[in-house]
Amino acid sequence: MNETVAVAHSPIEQFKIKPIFDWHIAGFDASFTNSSLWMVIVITLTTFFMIGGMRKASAVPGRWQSAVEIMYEFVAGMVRDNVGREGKKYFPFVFTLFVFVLGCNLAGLLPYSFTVTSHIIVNFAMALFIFTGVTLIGFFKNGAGYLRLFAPAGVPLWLLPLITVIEIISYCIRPFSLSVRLFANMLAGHIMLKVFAGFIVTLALGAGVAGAAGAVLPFGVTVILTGLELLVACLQAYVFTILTCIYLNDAMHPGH
Amino acid sequence: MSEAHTEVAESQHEGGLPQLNTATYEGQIIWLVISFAVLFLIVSRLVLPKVTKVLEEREERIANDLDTAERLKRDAEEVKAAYEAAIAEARSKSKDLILAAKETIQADIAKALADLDADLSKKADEAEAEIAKARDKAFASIDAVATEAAQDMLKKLAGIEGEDAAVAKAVKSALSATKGA
Repeated sequence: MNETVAVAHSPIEQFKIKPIFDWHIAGFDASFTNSSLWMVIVITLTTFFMIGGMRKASAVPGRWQSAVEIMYEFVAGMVRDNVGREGKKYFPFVFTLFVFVLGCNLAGLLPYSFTVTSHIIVNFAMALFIFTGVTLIGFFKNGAGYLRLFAPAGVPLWLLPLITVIEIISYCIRPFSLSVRLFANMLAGHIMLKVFAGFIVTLALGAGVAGAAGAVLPFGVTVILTGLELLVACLQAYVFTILTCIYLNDAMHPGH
Repeated sequence: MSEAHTEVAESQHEGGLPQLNTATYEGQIIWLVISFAVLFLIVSRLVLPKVTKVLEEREERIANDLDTAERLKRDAEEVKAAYEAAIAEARSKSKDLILAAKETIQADIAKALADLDADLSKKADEAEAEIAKARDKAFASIDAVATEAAQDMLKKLAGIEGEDAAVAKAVKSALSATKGA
């Protein structure tokens, strides 16, 4: 009994992948899980948000259309400021990335939902795709000149070997840093929320009247944390996207 | 395969982060690729072209409106300039008119004054001439009267029938002496 309660309240229980129905195709395990479900929910909601906002597409926008336009301008500004004119080609991808990560982060805050981006493999897959893409673009655009990225101009000759090694390492850990940053933020935030929310239940049910009164404290903390997590959800989506832009910029202009 | 799945479920129950359970990776990646691709297609084919179009149209419209405003402003400025030119012209014209009128009036006044002067001096000359004539006439008659009076006085006082010519001569010289005094 005690154990089941502990399991049910385990703060990492929320990250568990639960199959909804099994689906094996061509030797791959493509089972539809709660993670898949929330990915589908996120893309459905974001599509509804974007298509719904633009369905009337008038020159003088309403509130909904303005929201979509602001999002567009926000990402377009990021691409413009960090990549420049050449970045326009990659705007649809960057926009999709931002919308997807933001949608997953925000949807994860709904009670009983699942946070897709709290799984390192999802973030890592995206980060690896970005890393591979950026590297290919870099070599495709600049040829061997892309290697200049690892030897910044203006570095004294005796320092160059050291700097080059550092630059290469920092370049290669990009997919890890990019994915771990988002993963760690989502993981920590949701564990904290779960722990404090768990305190409310434990205190309210287990410690009588005094406990019930004391449960107000973790409740308040949970409310504040929810606000904070809302901020973190948006901020991390922004960070993920802007780092993608900065990597793209490196691919376009490797000369720093 | 379902056996493998139970293993997955069991390994999750063992504790540890579900994120580190590599058995779930395959499915997550497959569904990530599917949903991301679908979202990318929707975004790039449906949403972004629409938003871009609306933003471009708006920009164009604003630019057009600004152009129109600029044109109207230029028109208004032209009208204003024309108005100001007309006002200035009218002003200078009225000044000219006033000046011309002043000159005419002054000329008229001068002419009238000159006429008056001429008239008055002519009249004064005439009057003077008349006065002189009257005085001459008076002097002439004084001669005759004085001669007659002198003859009468001679006859009555001395009983001399004075010679007319001598008397007249004496009277004349006396008179001219008086006149000279």
